[in-house]
Amino acid sequence: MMPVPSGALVWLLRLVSSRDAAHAVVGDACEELSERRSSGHAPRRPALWINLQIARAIGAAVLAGLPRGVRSSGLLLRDAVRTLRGAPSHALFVVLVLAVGITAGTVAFSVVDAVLLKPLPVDQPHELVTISGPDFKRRITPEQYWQIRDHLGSVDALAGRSMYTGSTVTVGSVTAEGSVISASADIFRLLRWSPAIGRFWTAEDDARGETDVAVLGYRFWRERFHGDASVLGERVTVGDLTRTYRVIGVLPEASDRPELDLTSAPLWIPMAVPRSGTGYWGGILARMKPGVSVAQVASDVERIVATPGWRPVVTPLLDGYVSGVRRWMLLALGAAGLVVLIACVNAANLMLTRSSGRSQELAVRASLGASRRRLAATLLAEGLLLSFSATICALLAATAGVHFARTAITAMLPGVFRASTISLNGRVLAAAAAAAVVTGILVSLVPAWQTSRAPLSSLLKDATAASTGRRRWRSAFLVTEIATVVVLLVVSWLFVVSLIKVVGLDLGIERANLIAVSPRMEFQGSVDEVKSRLDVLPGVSSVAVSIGASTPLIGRAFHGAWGTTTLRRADAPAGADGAPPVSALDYRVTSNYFDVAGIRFRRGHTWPVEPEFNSTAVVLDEQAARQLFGDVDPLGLTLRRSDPDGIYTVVGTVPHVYSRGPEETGPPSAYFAMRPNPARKFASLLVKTSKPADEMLPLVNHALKSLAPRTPPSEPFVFLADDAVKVITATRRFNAGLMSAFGLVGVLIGAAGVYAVMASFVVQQTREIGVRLALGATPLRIQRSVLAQAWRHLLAGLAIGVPIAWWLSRGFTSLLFQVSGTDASVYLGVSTVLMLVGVVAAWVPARRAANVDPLTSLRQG
Amino acid sequence: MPPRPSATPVGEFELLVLLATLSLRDGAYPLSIARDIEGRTGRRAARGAVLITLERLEEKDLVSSRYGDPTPERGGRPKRFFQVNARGKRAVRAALDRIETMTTGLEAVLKPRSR
Repeated sequence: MMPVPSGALVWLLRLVSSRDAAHAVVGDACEELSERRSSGHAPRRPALWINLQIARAIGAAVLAGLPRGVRSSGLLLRDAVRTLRGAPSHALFVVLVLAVGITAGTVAFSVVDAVLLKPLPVDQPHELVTISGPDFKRRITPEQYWQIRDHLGSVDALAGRSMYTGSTVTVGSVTAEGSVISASADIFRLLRWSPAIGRFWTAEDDARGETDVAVLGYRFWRERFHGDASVLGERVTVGDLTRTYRVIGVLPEASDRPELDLTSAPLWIPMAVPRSGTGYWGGILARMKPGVSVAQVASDVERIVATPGWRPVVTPLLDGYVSGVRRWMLLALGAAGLVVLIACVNAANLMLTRSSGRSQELAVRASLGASRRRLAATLLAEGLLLSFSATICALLAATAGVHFARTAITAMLPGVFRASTISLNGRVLAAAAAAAVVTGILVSLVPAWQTSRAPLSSLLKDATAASTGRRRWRSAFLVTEIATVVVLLVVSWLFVVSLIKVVGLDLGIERANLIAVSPRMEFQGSVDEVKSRLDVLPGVSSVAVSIGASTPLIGRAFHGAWGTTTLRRADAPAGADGAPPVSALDYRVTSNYFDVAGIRFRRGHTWPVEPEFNSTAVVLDEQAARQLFGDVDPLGLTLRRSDPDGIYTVVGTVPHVYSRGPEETGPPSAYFAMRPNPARKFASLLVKTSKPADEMLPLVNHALKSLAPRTPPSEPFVFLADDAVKVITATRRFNAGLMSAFGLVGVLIGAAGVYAVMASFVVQQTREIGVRLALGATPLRIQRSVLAQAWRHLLAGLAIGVPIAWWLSRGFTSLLFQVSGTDASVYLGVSTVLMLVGVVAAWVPARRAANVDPLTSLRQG
Repeated sequence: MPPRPSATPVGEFELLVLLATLSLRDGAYPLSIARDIEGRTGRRAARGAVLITLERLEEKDLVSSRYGDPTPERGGRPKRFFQVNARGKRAVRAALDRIETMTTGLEAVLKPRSR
């Protein structure tokens, strides 16, 4: 009985040799086995023996095949290197184009990966959600918090938490500045931490009212206490508060993630949410049960809270950190993808141009016995060699690029989540390597396919036979490339226009030479003293004081509160349907505020300085005036304000001030006279300078040194209005810069593509051009016909690219400002730019065509 | 005048395989070749080694192979028969000539080593 060899081994053997050869080998083994049996030397386990024989044959075949494969790849590689060395500028250009594309892709992917894609460094981060909703802190009472806490079945754990940044923390004899997190006891179970030393507070501690305990952050403990366990029991104070806490534990090492503010605070204290009444508590963090969806949690919370008209917002924790940047970062990644696409198509085109020039060389090699497969393999090897060189260049460039991106993002866009962790990581490297291989194959696929397909006789006879087909491919590639450039250009155009509109918007205040003294806490002296010090400072022209709502722009860019008041027409009875109340920012200012801030009066004027104490004057911005009084001239009309109640007379109207920057719609503003109060210690001051404000900034700081608020010294309280605008528009500027960089690279590569293709067309048509010239065509006509070819490609590219761009632009309308993807002007601009660039790129080949010498060209043919 | 292209050089084991293939005529396949070498020289010749050598010789275009009909004692699998072609024969002759040339005058030295 003949044993049956393992099917898998036979299959492997067939893989490394051939079907028949494998059969013959197995047959030999079988025959030897039967021979051994008849001679009495049969192996003890025939099946094992026969499989061993096959395994040996596989090994031998692999070993025998390996040097051959290596040898022939070596030859291929040598050929490829020689060919590329033969045309170094061409090879260099292909490598450069590919490297630019891959670098753009790698850098963009690195940034997006680090900021958006990496999971949060906590256990099962996708289960963590925050629960909030519109006007959350006012609409949801502590009582409702407890209802959610006790009855929400779709979550495993739920904790209230809030964070105080920039606090001064004293633990024993150590004082540090940092964040303090106040959280309910479940936070530790929710984050799945157990203490490094000591213990965490528990829900029972909270319930008993034992909330004078504290837990230290791991890094803080390591760095400031050198990991000493004797820190347990130390006294803790926060800021100037008289309340003291006692250290009971330290967070585990797993919490030490500096990029995540959720976990990196040096001090954690209990949050005691009262069972009833009112009281401040922060947001809700929850861990969903496995398999539960965000929507399910939201509907459960809505049912429990049962507040009509209020819908909770449940967001995955990561979303809360990255929602602000997600859309534009993905868009940037998309734009980088387009750059990669353009680069690849361009490289493919360049390869095609080259291979059509080499048709005859390839034909000669074919006639000398090189197989089609071998020729195709040569082209493939060239493509891979080029793309691997490009990848190496790109990785070097990307290392620098990622470093640059990290520096640029952390400097220009403070607050981008995890920006400091941006780095070239393994995933990115793998993506880049894959890009290179795919590019290499793509780049050489078409030439290789064409070479292996064209009949040999025609290849030998005339290069043009094969190149007609190739020309069609090149046209198709060029049109694809132009279409992609169009899309990229439209996107970057939209962003640049948005930036121009944002920067050009009249914010309602004159921010040149404007300094704001805007502290977070009280001055160490009266506001009047602060003002008088500023008044006498050389270079200061005038100083205004405001309380109530925060200084425009500064409050948005740095810190601030937006106190509002409710206004009604005084002639309308309260609560009447006819006169809905208007909510307006509640500014209480000195009468020179408008002058200092550069707010120009539309109607009326400010109130006189003297009777400020009893002034009932109010200045409204146009929006508030229109909402209250419609189109009637509001001057002299009266209104009633709430909290504190009072009747005020409108003395003037001013334009709307974009307090929260150009892109956010805030409520309208109402300006009341500020009552003088010598004891006042908290206010914001606006300072108009006659010298450049940035020179005045250190002087102002110096003058106020002894009166500076008791905030940490690193926290500024004097700001330039210009800086505030810079902070507010930082993302916008960064996006526009990034997009225009991508657009520029795209246009440059595209122009190079047009040039290369047109140049190769001209070379191919030299003979035809010679004939036409000989038959009397003028050089100008020839030149025009080459340009017309370029135009045809450009028009075709526009025809494809514009609808795609139009369709795509609807996806990111929310990222644009006062411009949309449907604006005809955008497409007009892009078309003009593209046509101009295309014609310039085609100009040189066209000139070359016109200068063809008919005699030479005819002889060449 | 350019030198005449010399025959492809072959190694010792290759020479043995070629000679065995020649002597087995139409019945030369790896197993029989291995048996032939072992039987006549006493030197151990593994079937696998013979096959690889044959394949190398085939790549050098000194032998060619064809597949025979399946036989039952081989589990219904065909034999792979090898045949030495003209180039192969030339290579064998050249190799033997070289050995003969090199052994001329060494008869006295080599004599004591009797079989």
